[in-house]
Amino acid sequence: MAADLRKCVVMGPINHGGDVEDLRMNGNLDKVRATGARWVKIWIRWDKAQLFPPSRVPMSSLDTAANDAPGYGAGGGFRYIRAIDEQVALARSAGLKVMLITWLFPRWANGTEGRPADWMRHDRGSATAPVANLKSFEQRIPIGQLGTGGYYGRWLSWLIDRYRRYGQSFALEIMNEPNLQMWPQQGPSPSADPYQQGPLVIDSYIAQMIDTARQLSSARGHPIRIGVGGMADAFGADSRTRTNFQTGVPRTLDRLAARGFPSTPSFIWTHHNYSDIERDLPSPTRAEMTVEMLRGRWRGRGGSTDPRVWLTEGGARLGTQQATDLARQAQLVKSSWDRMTTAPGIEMFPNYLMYENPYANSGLRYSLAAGGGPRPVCDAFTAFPSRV
Amino acid sequence: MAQVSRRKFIQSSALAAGLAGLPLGTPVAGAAKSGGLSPARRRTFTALVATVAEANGTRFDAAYLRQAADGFDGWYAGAPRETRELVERTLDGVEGNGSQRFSGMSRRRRLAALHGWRHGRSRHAQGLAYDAVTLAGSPFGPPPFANASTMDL
Repeated sequence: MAADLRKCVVMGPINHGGDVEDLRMNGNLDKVRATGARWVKIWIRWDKAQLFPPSRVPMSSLDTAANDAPGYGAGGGFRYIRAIDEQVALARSAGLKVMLITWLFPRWANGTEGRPADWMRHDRGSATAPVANLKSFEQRIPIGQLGTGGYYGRWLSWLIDRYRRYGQSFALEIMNEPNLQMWPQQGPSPSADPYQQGPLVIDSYIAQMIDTARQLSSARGHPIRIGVGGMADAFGADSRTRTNFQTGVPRTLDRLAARGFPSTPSFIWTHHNYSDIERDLPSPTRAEMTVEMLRGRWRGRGGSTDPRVWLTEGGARLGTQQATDLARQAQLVKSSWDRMTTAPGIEMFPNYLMYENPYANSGLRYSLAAGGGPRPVCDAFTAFPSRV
Repeated sequence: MAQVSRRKFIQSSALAAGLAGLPLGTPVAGAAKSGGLSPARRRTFTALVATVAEANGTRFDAAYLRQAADGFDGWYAGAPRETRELVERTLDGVEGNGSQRFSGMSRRRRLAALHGWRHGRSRHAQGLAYDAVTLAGSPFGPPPFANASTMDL
């Protein structure tokens, strides 16, 4: 039985410079605390935090005025970094533990600057997708920069060093839904049709990112927790733009094994559980399936005999599957919480967003423009006991 | 994060290819179908998308805006009541929040209006600006706000 399931409020990714889901704004900190959650997850967009390559602005100057550009205001560069710093410090001062996820990649780091809008479109969408609907350039993996000395490694070093003072009360999640959002997922097509499936490559990139984080963390004595994986839980066939987590998890573990990934208890496997909640899936849920995929293989938290998984994003989005109305939304979240409290290996339960959002309508509260009051799901989430 | 549902509604929307060439903002057949957006709300949505797209540096044309509105319209028609209400509150709020109708403004003035709400002292207006940009991010594909949120309103 999973003891002491952690409850985590996952704020929205537009959290910079005083945006609606910024912890410093709108009484959001108090609203998180009122749910009884001990964990809050916030986002830092790498592409907005580090506006220029280190050759132009050294890593040591990211929090200075040298890291600034016209038009960004508090939404980029050193002011954005300070906004994130302040949110982390505020949460910690209130006794909350913090998960910070680094999201997206700067275009100067991933080779997309100066490329035409439809560049590599076969890795970013279907043959008929409008250019504006392709995966964004900021989602392209910085291939060749994932090592400890590469741009990605240096960015992770900077993050670990910056927040290491918070120790085990701080978790850095180093990727977000790599099996769905990042590109490329596969190598070149074997035929003249560039949209034909090629060999899986996302597993290698994920494993390299994890191994880079491990080396950096190890060199510093593993000062903080590191979240890895973060896979979307969607089923369906693998394609050039998405990889089923049932492919992604074991293949990534294969790659980690090939790299000789050692026992690293501070590394936590993370997973998103929208489908479990919205479909009211019975056991074995997709979260539990992930635990089983890790069993015998994962060398991070819990080890191979008792692998642990933190669910770091999820909820019941209105209009998706069984989430037909607010009452049902709350029921689904409660049902999943009850299921996860007895699921071996599951140690965290999230709810994505503080406020309602038309497309990811899992928020705990109505929009601020509608007064920001609690929705039934907020009452349900608040009622869950959580001591850690 | 919510990527699947956003993509789904874009990809599953029947795009009205025959509508290409209509002037921007013209109510189109289908917009008035039962359960769909009213022509006025559709105009507001289209104006909002154009504003965000331009601010974001996204390439678009009138045909694309119509396709985006059609996709949104189809999604809205099938959305739960609570989501529809959020959409309606947002579009009606945007249209009527200033001294001038939002859809009647130039794009430059629309962007200035959104910027003013976002940075103003009114919590209602701040929330409205956030909801508006979120709503307008819908056509721009995965993940949520990957493109729209690069705009610093």
